[in-house]
Amino acid sequence: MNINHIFQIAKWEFVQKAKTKAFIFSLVLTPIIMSLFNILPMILMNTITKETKKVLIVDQTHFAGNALSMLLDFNKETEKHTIKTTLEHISPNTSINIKSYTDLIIQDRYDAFIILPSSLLQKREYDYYSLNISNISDFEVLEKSIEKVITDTLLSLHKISKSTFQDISSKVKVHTTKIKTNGDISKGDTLTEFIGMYGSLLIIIMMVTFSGQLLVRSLLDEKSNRIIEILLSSVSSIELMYGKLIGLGCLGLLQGITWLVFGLIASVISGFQSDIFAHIPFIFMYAILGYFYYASILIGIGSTATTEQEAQNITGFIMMFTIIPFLFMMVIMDNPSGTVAIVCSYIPFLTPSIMSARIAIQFPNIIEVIISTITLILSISINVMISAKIFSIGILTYGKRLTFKEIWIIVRSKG
Amino acid sequence: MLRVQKLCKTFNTSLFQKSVVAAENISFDIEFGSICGIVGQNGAGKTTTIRMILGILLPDSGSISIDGIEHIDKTIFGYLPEERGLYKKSTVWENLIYLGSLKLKDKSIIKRQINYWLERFDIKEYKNREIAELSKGNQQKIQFIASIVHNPKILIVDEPFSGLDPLNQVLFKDILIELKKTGLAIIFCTHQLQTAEEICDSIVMIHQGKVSLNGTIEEIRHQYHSYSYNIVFDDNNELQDFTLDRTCEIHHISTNKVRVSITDKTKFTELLQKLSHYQSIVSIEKFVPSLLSIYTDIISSKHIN
Repeated sequence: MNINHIFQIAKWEFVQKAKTKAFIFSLVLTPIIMSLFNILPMILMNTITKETKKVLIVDQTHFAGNALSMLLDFNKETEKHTIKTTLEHISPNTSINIKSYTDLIIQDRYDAFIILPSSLLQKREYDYYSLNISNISDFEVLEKSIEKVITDTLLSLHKISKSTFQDISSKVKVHTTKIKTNGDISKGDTLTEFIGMYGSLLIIIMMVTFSGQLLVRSLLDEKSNRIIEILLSSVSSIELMYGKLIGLGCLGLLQGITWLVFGLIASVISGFQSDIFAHIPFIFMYAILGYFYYASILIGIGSTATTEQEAQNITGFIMMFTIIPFLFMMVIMDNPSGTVAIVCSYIPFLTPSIMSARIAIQFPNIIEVIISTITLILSISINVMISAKIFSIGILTYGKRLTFKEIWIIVRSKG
Repeated sequence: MLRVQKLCKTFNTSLFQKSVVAAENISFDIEFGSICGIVGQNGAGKTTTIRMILGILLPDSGSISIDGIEHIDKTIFGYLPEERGLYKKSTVWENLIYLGSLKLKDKSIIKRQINYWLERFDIKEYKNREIAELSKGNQQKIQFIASIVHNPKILIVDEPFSGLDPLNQVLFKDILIELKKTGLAIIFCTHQLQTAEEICDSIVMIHQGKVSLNGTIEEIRHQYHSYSYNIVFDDNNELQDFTLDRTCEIHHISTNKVRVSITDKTKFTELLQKLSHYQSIVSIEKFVPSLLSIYTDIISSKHIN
């Protein structure tokens, strides 16, 4: 094997892809878009839903209606979410003509109407009618207000002062401190752990997916414009395969490092602190191994693709496996050293994500890190051996894609 | 000398449903400083043979050697495939440097060579242009430069003139002949038999995976129709009455011309004696068959057989 050939191919793949506008945009825009996905809904909720909602309160309790109306109209929490109420008292024994109220909604005289039944105190239930019942923020305000009305009424009935009630019902606050395996301690909380774990998983999945797609596309391009024959007249198929794997792996790494820098800047700005930053080398090691694991499969199967559609199908199918670790995330968060976490750590296609997640929550035993790394490296070696066989034939097939039966025959062949 | 000996390649039966013999005992030699034309129909086995020579495909059996040495370094070859391919979004310079660097480590030689050939093809101004911006003819020139930029010892060109205008075809032909004179062995794959006849020193005809014709142009002409003679008559009436015995085959070419074929050289004197009875014969000349007619004869006889 000629190392210079591998280096030249890797350099070409890296430089040519890295200087494309699409890559540069994805490098910068992806973290921005990801951030926007998290921040934008909140911004929209707080800015767009400022219009006044007209709500009719049909009160059968004769105590809750007035209080609720006052709360909704003047509640501080509704500053950005004004509700204008109209109150209608109805005798508890009178049956309510729902149709007449729904007509008011249809006629756009009200946005919603609430029925506060006489059994409100006992059953703690009320009815809400509207054309739109998916407005979460409205319900949140309503629920809080009605709960306050009920609580205040009950306190008054039982002659308990509000300050006494607050003393009784105030929440217990927990101060979490993380003990590291070396005995050091640091402040932390579940949310921080979750964000750290989620972030590391996202970096791995996006690196693997992005580089994997580029790999298959690059193969298809070279096949369809027949440059592959010129390359193979200069280098061996194995050299070509390694060159591509390494070149695009470096591209993925560049992407991962850039996003990490974005993440660090964002965490400094937001004051977010996590132990995960101390374990970044390990997470990157698993990210790189994860890339090589999936890329070593993709390069073999992907070399058989003859059309863009086939390439997308192949990439899509293989990449589905990268999101499987999300199924185990809650179990791993619950017990990062449990049986499920340990078993999953040794299943090669899960190893990169599961180990990164475990490292983000609680650094596992170093023996587990070593064994899982060796397992992954061995799996990559097997993948490379199998893919090399498929690659050397798949890369020269045009027009008709190899079937699974044909691929199986190639894999079993001795040559 | 490049020696190709008994190359065989069969594509796996179970893999491709039916067994395909792409090459069967392909053998031929090419001297350095000569052009060898490989001709044959589509699917005859030319590309498979070329791919085996280049090391893209491994032969099932047989050998390829250069001056008796079987271990061949790929850098010795330059290759211009039939289906042209370059990186469309990259510049001319980037393409040539990359493809050259896969063959040769010394970039200064590659750069010098690129500049020389760009100048030679009069396309130096396109150096920093993307391949996609170039015309088909200019892309072909770049592709050709890519195949010779590392100073190969053996150049394999597959249909190098397709898509070229007549002027550029002449330029390409001149360059091939020039490269031959510098000592390169050139394998020239083509369907254009006239061009092959023009520039090739030897021909290998592959038909249904086998070599059906191999030798220098002169040898081939001798081998086929070498005892045919064109006879021109002054008197058309005499031509109409012209007959010979069964040992001679007569083809009427035009109103005053026939072609007579005899089975071997020894019959020529006999033929002359017979012709002496005809007073209106004005010329007798040996018929030199074109490669196309030989090719057509071989293909049709194989089909009949």
